Amino acid sequence: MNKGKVKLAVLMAVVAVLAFVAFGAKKVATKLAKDAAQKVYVPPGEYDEFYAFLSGGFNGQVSVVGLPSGRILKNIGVFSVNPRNGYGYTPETKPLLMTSHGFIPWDDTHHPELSQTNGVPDGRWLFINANNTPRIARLNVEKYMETEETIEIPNSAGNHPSSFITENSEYITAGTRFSVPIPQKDIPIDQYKGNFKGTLSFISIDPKTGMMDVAFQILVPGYDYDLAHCGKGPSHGWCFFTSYNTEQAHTLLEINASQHDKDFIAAVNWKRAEECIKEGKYETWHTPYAHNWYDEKKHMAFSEIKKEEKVIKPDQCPGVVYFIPTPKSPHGVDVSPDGKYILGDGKLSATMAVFSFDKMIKAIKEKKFAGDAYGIPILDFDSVLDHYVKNVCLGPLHTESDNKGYAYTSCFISSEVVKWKWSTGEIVDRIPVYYSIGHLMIPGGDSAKPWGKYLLAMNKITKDRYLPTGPELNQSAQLIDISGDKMQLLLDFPTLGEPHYAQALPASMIKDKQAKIYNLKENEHPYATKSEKDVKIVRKGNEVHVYMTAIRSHFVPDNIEGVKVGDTVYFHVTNLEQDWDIPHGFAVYGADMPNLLIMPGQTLTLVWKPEKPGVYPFYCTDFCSALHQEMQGYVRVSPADANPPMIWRGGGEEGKWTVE
Amino acid sequence: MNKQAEKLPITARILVAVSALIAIAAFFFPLWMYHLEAPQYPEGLNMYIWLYKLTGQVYIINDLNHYVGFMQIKPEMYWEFKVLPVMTAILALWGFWVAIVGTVRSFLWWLGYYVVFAIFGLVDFYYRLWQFGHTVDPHAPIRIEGYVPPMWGTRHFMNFVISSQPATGFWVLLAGFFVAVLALIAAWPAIKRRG
Repeated sequence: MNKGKVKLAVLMAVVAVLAFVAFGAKKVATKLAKDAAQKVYVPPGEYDEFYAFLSGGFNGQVSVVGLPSGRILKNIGVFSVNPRNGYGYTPETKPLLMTSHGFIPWDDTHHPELSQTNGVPDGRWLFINANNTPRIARLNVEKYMETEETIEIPNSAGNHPSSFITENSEYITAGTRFSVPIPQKDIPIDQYKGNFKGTLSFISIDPKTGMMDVAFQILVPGYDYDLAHCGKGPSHGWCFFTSYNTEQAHTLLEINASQHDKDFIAAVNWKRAEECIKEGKYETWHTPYAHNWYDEKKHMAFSEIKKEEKVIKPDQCPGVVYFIPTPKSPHGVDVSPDGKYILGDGKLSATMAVFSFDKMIKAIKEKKFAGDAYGIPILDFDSVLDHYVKNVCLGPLHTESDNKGYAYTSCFISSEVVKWKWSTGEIVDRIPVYYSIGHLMIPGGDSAKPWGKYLLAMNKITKDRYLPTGPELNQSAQLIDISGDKMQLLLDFPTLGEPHYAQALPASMIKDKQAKIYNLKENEHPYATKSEKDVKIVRKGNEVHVYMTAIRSHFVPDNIEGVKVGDTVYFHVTNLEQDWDIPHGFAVYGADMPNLLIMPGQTLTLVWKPEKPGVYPFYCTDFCSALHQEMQGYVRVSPADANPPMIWRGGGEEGKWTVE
Repeated sequence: MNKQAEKLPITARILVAVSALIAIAAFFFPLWMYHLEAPQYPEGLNMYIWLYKLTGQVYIINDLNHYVGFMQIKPEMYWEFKVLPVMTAILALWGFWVAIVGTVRSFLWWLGYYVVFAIFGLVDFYYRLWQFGHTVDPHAPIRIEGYVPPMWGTRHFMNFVISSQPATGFWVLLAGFFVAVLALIAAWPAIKRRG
């Protein structure tokens, strides 16, 4: 055998081995993909294992998503109007969007949080913050999956460290990401230092009704309070808020607020605050704020302006707040499920500090302070530090926990999720995500008992993950299996708006409690029409109230004559159906508000100011039955000075208006 | 011996009392049930017919019926819901009376009433079904030929599969009748003696 032949033989052997390896690898990859597909496949007609509630960011809504499939189940209007069903436009729902600045049709929803009992999500309510005009909303997730209450946060701006809950839903947090003059006044912006302040607010929750109230606000130095989480188990009674811009810059914050190596976590002892309130160690301020709630029986929301809040100044209530120095410009602050560790996700540091709650209490007792900031004691960093998570990644933002003692940190800059051990900080696994992850969510992952199993990565940049749709793309999420030692990417799916944070719970907890209809007999809407016999039209001056019914497949009345230019017509439409998933829609030609989408047994109102004489059709906008196309009617509009007959027809009947 | 005075054996009298007691139980259960299934109603719709009322998703069934112009099912349209409970109460009270006086003559009249009651109930039920299927609104959006819903069994109608079967109350009454027949067997020698 000559050298050439030997070379050739060796080469062929190498090629064969490579081919075998490559083929094998491909087989393995295919097998993995199949494996992932099986894990997220929910066969037609079957249900997802988890309900996930994703904030919508700049769409101001909450989307309900099934996991593991990633299917969108519902989009709920919260702080933004929803033309789909008239939310925020109808007189029934408009009051939910009232503030001390008047009606606001939009906000930026960030952090949904489920109510908890004993530190575990109990499936009653979902809270979510509005960042722009500070507010918190409460949604009913047990039965209706609709917004039930909103409350404005006075003396605040940029409500970002919100809405995070205490162990037994005693309070939900709020705070100022954008410090402002408190109370507000007209001063030059460059007088920021000393004049601009923040508040950390605690919103109480009525354990039976869920109704919210501003319990107390703690006045704090003018930093940017970013995120929060409350203690549980041993650390119950405390809430932790991160801050950045301890430099107190007021322009070009990107540079000027990134100078300090450490900023603060504000540790708030809310049980101490409760004591101070009892002892009268607070000031009563009078900044107006709106409180709005939906009355389930009346099918209608109400709004009130409150003008009193209890403000605690830390120097008048010693022990209510301490600062923990935290590297560097921390974003998230997270508490381990056992409540023993507090983590500052140091956005601009590759190393994260894990603090010990016990050590913090010891340091407070032994007065191990490193000075103070505006009278608030700064704890000695080394006395509170338990351990570091070294070289975790670039841009760590948020951390959630599983049920096996591991933490999972999202890394914005390095686009990955890092798994590490809470007790030691040892890094055990990493997985790339696409791209630039913000929050992540594990079902129950910020509670005392995470369900684990899945991790949802919510990413800020989508780029090439889906078919391109012009410059504007939906955000992207990835579902990761965390049940094994190694994380496994299962699914990519686009999301609505910009989900910042999410919550999830097992579907079995609330699935069977979901309402199918509104009970017509229990409908106490003041303009409800509970049968076709009760249909009427009432004129009160320039106001025309149409008491209207909808049932497959007709409206009563469906002919209306007597309306004049200059009138305001209120169509109070009651859906008489009592059958699951038979809504009726209602739209009027030329009306300057969106359609109504009326659920079975519900009453909603469309308001219309006709401007020109003519005959205007109205119709059902939800394909309700085989005769849906026939579900239509007409309103005759006469000139303002005309004297038309005031009559109606419909359901085989005819009637005359009542004039009051 | 006086024919009028011929007495029932004690077994027969006890059985008649039991039968009367069972008839009372029929007030507490539906007699008949209808189950309707369609592609968009995989969970089905149910209607239960009692001695004196209708329960189940009658509101929804009525709403669907209006497409084809079937009459709206309303309890006040049927005098049977007033008469049937009275007839059943008579059956039970009469039974107790028979058990107390214990004459063969009273027993035979009571048994006869029971048979007439049963035949009347079933025949009237069938008539009502026929009437339901043949009283359609001529202006209904969807016109149909005469149709009789099943009395016992399953039948297709448009997008629906309609099944009908006796429910607990019927079986209770049947059990009561069965006990009455046992009483007849027990009373047979006495009846023969009476001639």
